[in-house]
Amino acid sequence: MTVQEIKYLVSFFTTALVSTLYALRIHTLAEQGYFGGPDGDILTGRALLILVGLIIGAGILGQIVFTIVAAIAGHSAEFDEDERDRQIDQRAMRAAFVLVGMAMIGALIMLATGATPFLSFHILVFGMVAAGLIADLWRIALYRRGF
Amino acid sequence: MPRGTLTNQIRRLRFDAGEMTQAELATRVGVTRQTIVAIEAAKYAPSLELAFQIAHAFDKPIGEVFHWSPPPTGPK
Repeated sequence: MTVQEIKYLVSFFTTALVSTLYALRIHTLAEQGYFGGPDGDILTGRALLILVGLIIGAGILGQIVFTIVAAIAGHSAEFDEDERDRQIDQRAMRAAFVLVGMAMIGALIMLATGATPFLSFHILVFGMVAAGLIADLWRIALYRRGF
Repeated sequence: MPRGTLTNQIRRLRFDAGEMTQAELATRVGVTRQTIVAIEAAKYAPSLELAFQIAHAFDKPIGEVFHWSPPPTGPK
């Protein structure tokens, strides 16, 4: 497994871990009626902002830890990116963009058909999270399969 | 649109060039070793510039390093 593949696996697992922990916590809070009051929309916005911040923070932390571990293991020479890395990244980002678009349309349809903002915005944000996860897996697949 | 097949002689040329390693070639042309691995295994078609750089590293014309075969055409 190459350094780039491990880097994308780290990104995948940190995002998946943070999102899962958030989903479990938010599910409990929602069942307790935390988001049902008059401040429900404000609390939803805050919760989602916290999720986005946690994903970014965990992603940065994961990459820092990975970079240190990889450098100690003597892989620092392979950190340079080249044209293949950029092409793989572009293809993955294109796939992610399509998925984010679908999530956005899905969230808008939910909102238009009477779903709560809590549900609609969570569909949107989790669609974005899923797009990021699939993009990471797609990158790894492209590294393995070639193109 | 059907794509042709791009093959290359990099492995043989590396051997002929004093068993140059993939890492050495990668350093010469400014890419990662994994990209050289992928090109050698025909899992990645390099850009025209990189193809020229690789040919230049072996001091060969590009046609001696890379070969492109058109896709088979069906009956008309």
